[in-house]
Amino acid sequence: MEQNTKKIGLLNCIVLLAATIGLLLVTRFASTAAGAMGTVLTGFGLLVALVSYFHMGLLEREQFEKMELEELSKSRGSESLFASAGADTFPAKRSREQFERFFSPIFTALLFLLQAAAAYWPWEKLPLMAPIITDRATLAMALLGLFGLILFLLGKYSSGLARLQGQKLLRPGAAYLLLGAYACFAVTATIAAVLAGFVKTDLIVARVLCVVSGLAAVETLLGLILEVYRVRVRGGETRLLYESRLVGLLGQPEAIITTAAHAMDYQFGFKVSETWFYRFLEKALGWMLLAQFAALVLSSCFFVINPGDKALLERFGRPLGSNGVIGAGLHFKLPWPIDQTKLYHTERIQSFIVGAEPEQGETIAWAVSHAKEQNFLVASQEVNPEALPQGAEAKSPPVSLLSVSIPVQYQVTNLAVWAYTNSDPESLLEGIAERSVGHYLASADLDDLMARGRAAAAVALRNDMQEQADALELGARILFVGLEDIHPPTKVAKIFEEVVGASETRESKILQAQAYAVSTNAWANGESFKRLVAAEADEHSAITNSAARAMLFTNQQLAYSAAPGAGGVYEQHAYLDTLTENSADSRKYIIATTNAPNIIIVNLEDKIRKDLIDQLPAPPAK
Amino acid sequence: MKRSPLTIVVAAILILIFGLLLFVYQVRKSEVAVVTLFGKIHAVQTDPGPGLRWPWPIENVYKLDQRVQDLEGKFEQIKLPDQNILLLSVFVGYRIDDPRAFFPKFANGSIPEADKVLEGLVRSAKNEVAGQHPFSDFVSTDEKQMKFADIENQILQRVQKQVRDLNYGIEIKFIHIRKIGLPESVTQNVFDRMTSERQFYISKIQSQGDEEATKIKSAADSTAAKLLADADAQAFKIRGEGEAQMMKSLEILQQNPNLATFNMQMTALEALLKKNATLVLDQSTSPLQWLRMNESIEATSTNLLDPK
Repeated sequence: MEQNTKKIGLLNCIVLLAATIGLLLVTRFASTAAGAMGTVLTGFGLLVALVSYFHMGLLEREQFEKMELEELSKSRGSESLFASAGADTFPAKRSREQFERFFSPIFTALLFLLQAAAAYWPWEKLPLMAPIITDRATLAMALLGLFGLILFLLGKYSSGLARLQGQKLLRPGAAYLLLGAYACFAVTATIAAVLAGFVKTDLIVARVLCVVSGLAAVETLLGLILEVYRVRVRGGETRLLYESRLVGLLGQPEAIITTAAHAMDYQFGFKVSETWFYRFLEKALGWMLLAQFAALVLSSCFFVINPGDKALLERFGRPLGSNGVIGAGLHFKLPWPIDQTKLYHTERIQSFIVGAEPEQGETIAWAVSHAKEQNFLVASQEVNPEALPQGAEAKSPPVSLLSVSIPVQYQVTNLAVWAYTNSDPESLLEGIAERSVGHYLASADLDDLMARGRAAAAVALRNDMQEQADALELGARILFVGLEDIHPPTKVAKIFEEVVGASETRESKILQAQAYAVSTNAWANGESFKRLVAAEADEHSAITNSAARAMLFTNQQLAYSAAPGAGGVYEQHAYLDTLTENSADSRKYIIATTNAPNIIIVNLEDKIRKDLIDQLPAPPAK
Repeated sequence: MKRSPLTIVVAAILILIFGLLLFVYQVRKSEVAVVTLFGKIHAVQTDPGPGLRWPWPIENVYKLDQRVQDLEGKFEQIKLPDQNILLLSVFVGYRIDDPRAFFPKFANGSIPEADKVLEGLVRSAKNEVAGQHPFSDFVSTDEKQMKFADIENQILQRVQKQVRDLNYGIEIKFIHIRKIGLPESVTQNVFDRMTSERQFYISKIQSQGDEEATKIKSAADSTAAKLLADADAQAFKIRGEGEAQMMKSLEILQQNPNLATFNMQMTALEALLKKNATLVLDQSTSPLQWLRMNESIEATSTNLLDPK
């Protein structure tokens, strides 16, 4: 171990410490998320450089110990004295071995945890950071540029020294120096992009650095696992566990093939890098990658537009043709950024909802909440306008609230107008729709709207929305406005249902009365008929009886003339005949005169009066 | 030193890309570009297409969206002259019509900054205009009484004037009332009123039912009574006709009034005796006078019945 190497290792540690602190201060100063992740990566570099420096010290001590022993053995003249020396004879070597066996894996495991945490935790937290303070951006960019330059120069020097002198312990620190340098340059570019108006760049770059940390964590973990199963060759070179090939690659992209070859040689225990395939790959990989890139660019020159869609094609931002609109089919375009396309679903029926978004459910009942209600003001007619005193001052109209969920369906009809006239046409259309609904409801009567007025309201709303959309040059056609789901708010829905119940009760009462009327009229018709028929019968009876009597009388006169006068035979005969015939069933009491000596009782048996029997009610049927 | 062709090709591509990015910019149809030279506005490109520029920091290119921007105002409480309170929100459409005036006033042409400034102006105008209109101008069953469009127009004119006077480089395209509402505390009162209104309708409907039912029943009763009266009248008439016919037979009876009277008496007697009649007869009633003439027989009978 050369003394110079250890000094460089120490310098690396100092510079990385300074860069970490500097990046931290700049991050806080300018509030940059990408800077925060750059600080984290440089911090990892500091840890690795410190461990690497400590490792250098142990190796140096071992070399001194070996040299001392060699000197001692020469001065004594006998090597056999130390040939069978135990471990206690080489404390420095033992310390180094202990370091590599225990400390190095433990540190590597710890590094893995830190890298994984740095990938996972900031992912969610970074968007919460305040945006970059543009006023401080210039100074921050200057400082970051300076840090990046220092890190880059020292990193290049260290990596060159490590490669030329075979100082592998300088490699990890050098790689992190270069990574830190690139991180500084990336953060500088990010701040510049934010200044140029690309505000999201800061978050994107920060997340890219998160991914880098995550990949480094994966690589560290794989290194730890593979170390267990590695084929060990006696006297072979051992790899530094805490050295990241990925970081080395990012720091020195040109070394990608060499690093891959070293990794394979190390893992398989033989020179994979000397095989013909590797040689071919080494020569052709660059061209292959370039060809891949060219194929990628070429493939982006063709694009297909599906039926129902249209696209806007712009060359250097200028619409191609009359308005830049192209229809379905296969099309050619020049690669980005010369030509750019943006796809739109023009034929597809698009929709949004004015008011509450209904929840999923089988039944939609007014009195059961089925959406987060959005209530609109609705005018109401005076319930009893006659009740207002004459000449009373005009007062505010009564209002009601109506829960509304109105689907609006539309189609883009003029893509160029749709895309180029308004910055957010969907939002504007929603605003227009909400305005139309609010305006219409404010002048509509609640009861009329919920009964007969729905269809008319839907048509009126659609026309109004279309008119507004045309006036604001939206290039859209309103296809449908649905007023199915408008109802009183849940809190008062029950009383509205009771009104319907009252209507039913009213109908029920009317129907009962109509049933009574039908029955009464029928009875009256029958009864009047009956009375007329009875009268006709009476009339007939009177006429026929009188005729019969007249005939009878004529005959009787002959009999009467034979025995005329009161008490005559005819009269006596007729009287007695009548009496006996008709009094047969009558109860008879014959009262003797008071001066008569005997009382004659005829038929003294108990006998219930027939007239009483007739009065008794009939027994109920069982 | 021999250069790899691959390196040359990649370097050429990278130089081309970076060269384009550094020296060329493009403006879309929906955009307008403001080019600054060392911080001062140097040029404005409104037509779409490519443009040349010096790289940063000599020239900066700021692209502004020249389409109509949609600004949504707050749903805000306003007191009306008739002591009512209303929640009102408006949405505004505006576009950049003078990029040179717009750019320096809103943090290098920042639309969010313009939104913030414009929102203040709109809010002020909205409160001022809406505060002069009674509630019935916003909500009424009589559409002629409503002044939605007037109110929107008044707000628009005020904001347009302010934006013009202050030279914001903005053109206000429209201002529309998006939503009107009532404060939460008033909402409960509206619910109470709606409940009372429905109670009124319930009572009204129920009363209508009673009224209707009573009318129908009364009409039915009346019709029945009329029908019966008509029938009775008809019956009387028929019976009268019968009696008139019967009178003809009386002429025959008149030939022998004693016999006729006797017949009628017999007929009456027959009718009297027909059912449930109880006769209390004394011995003078014919033919019971015969009972007195046979006293001996009666005495025997009496004796037989006596237990002594």
